[in-house]
Amino acid sequence: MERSKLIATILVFGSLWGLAECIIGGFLRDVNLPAGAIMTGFFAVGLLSLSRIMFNIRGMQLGMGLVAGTLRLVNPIGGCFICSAIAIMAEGLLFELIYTTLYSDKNQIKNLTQLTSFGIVSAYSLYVGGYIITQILTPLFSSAGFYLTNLLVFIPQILASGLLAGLLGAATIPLICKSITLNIHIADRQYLPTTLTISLICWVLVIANTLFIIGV
Amino acid sequence: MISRPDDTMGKERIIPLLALTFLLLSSEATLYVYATTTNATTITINAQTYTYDQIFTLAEPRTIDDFQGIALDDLIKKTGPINPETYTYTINGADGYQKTVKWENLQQGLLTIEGQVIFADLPKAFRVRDVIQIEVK
Repeated sequence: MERSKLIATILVFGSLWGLAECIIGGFLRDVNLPAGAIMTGFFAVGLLSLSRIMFNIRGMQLGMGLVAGTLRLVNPIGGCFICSAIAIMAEGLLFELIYTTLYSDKNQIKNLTQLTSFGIVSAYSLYVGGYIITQILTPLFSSAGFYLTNLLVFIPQILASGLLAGLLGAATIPLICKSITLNIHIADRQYLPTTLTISLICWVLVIANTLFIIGV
Repeated sequence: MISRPDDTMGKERIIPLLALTFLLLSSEATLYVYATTTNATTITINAQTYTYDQIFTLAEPRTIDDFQGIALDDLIKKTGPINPETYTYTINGADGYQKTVKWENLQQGLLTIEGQVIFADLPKAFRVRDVIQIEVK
């Protein structure tokens, strides 16, 4: 894949993820649903897997996490937005590590057990890993500082709250693999304008949402 | 659709096993959390237990943004140790969530009647809910 196309692809997937985190995540938090687990188990795992399966390029998911996390930072609304941004970036990195560790770039798996299992493993690891990294890094950026005991006593709650993310991941990965067969194709000439326009729309929507909520 | 592991037979077995382990681990953790979560009807500060009604008559009120409650630094002055600025304070929630803060943070913090701590100078991750204990260390 050309460099410009790769960057545009990272930007569009990362922006879609960031948009979902800001708008849908915000709505889920407002109605008191477990936004973190739902966003990780469905949107994060879904978009990360989809992009990896479609393009199979190492480093792409880390880039997506950076784009989505940055988008979350420009939307300082609902919950701990610094925590969310850190968790999103961490999820991109963790997905890279998990996928690279568990899979090579050679053959394909269509077995439902494997797909479901990978969904559980990736979603649970992303959620729990992202949560732990957030609990370490957020206090480090504050005047209070980080205390290891604060994290250790809360580990059972973090492990427990990952269950929903894992179960959603189990459903998401087979769905994503099914959707790949739809074989959506964008002509080469239209690829950059289309992806960049979608990315721009995502950013405009998030910034407009931020301005609307803070009442500017 | 997903790339197959290099060591096909080994990893094909490992991934479902890993998934099963994660499910069991999270299920056990859920049971543990359910069994250990308590209700926030009282609050223990510096090893002394108070009701929420008691502490709300002790400390002066404070407002941060849309939140109203009592000033945490004033609460500690009236219930905690001498020279409070020399200690750190661990705030424990009923669900096991805890955060350790400094005296400077308490000076910009409040405790709401619902039992949540809010700090003007710290991220929302420090908003411990259903506070049951403030440890002085």
